[in-house]
Amino acid sequence: MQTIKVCDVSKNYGDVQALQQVNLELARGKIYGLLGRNGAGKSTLLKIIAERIKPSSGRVLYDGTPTLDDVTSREIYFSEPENTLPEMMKVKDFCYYTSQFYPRFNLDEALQLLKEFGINEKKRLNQLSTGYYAIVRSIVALQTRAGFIFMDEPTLGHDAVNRELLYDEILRIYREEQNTIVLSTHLIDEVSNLLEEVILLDHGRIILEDSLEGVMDTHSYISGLSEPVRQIAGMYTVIDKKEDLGFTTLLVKKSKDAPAAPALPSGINVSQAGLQDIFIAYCKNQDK
Amino acid sequence: MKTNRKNKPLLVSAVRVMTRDYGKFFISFFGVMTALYLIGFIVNLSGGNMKIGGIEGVYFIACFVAGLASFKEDFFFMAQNQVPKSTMTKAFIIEGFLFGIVTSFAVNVFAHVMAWISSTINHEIPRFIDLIPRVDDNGGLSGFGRNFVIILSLYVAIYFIGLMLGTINYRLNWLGRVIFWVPFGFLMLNGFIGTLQYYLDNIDPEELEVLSVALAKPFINAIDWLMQNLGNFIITCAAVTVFCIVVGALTFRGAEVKYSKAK
Repeated sequence: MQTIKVCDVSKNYGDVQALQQVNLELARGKIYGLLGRNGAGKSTLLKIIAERIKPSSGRVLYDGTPTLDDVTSREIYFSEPENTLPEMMKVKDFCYYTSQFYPRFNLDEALQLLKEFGINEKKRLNQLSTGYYAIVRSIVALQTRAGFIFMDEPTLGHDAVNRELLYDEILRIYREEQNTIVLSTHLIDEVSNLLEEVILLDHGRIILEDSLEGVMDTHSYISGLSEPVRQIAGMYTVIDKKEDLGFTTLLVKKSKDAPAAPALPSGINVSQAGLQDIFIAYCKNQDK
Repeated sequence: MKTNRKNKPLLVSAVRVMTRDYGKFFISFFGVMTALYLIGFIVNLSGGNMKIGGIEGVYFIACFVAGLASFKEDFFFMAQNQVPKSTMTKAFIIEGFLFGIVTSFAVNVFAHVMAWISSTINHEIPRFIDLIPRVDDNGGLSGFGRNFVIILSLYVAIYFIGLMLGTINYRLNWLGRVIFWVPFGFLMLNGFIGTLQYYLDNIDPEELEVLSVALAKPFINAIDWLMQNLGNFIITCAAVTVFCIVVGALTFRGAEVKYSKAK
């Protein structure tokens, strides 16, 4: 499978609109970051893509077809934080039985990795702490080596060391399989080094979708005394604005096609914005 | 690199995973049953008179509970592994028949072994009552085969009743469950008590001590009819099985994973 296309997908839970006409195309061979606040609709979108729940309207196309069959379904794995796994199943059995469904699953490697993370494979899933549970499901997800791996909050409850180990593992599997990995997470700065594509979701809508490079190139901080900053603000799309004691900082977006910026007045500083800053600015902007 | 190189068809993997706990189930189930029979032997050999009437009911309940309980966990795990609904449905059907075959064989062997021990030590032991043909009336291989077919038909039907009810229960919200289960429970309990009174206490259908005689009589009539001969029995079980599979499959079609809370 090469592409997954989300077409006009909406999802309502009673009066709450979790997703509003979302359109998205996921291509093979990229690491995506699906970013958004709590309740933004990230998990709902992933559940719909993985056919766990149905959209209220719209559809998902897998290489152009609307449903997964026995072959194409082997190309998808969705790891989610909710308790949907058999609680009484032992960790090693969880690995073994998952391996029965995914032909490229490397059982020995999975068990070895779990050992390295300090997880007792004989424990039952309901005996694991939140952090260990997340490690188990993340390792199993990666070891399926499916064409499209969706990981919802893969580092939930992890300590910093284990998070780093997991990021290394994500990169290793990605290099080996050249598959697509979609990371849905709050830890934006941490995963920003892994990402190639960024999808920012807020209030059930995609508000930003671009390559990481594109996002970083087109967003920057402009700061200086308020008056000169105000004079040049019209040249950009202002995402966020902070004023303090006659000093103004703007987070701006410039068009990719825009001509090179003219020389800026003296006293104006331009600096690179971090992905997390951009994310926060967009979310605040949406709230307004 | 050790991988699942056999690359088995998904249906085979699904059935394999669904049947993963059979070993544990049979060991614990027949362990308890063996213990009960042993106690029966010991008590009776010691001069007592212990009978475990209706013990075969345990087998029915086991089949019913297996069907009822297997739905949610298996559905979630299959969904976790992206098994399409059509393949899941086939896997549930195959698993139901496999469970019926294995259980019927094991129960039949168990009953014959207990009957043989009973005759060897010349002591009466608890045995199948007349709701299904008595094992000790059907000796030899043909008797074993006949009982196997009877028990298989019954267990498969009961398993699929359980699975269908499990599926319906899963699809309903709390209000739907109340609306479904309260009348259903009343109907079943009323009919069950009436049937027991009719068969065990020989009470006339018009004199049954149940909340609704009118609702209990169809149960008795149906059981009377299906117990008339083997053909009626097999046909009824087969019809119930087909009905439950069709209703269960239709109910399952639109099922989504219901989420509780994150770990």
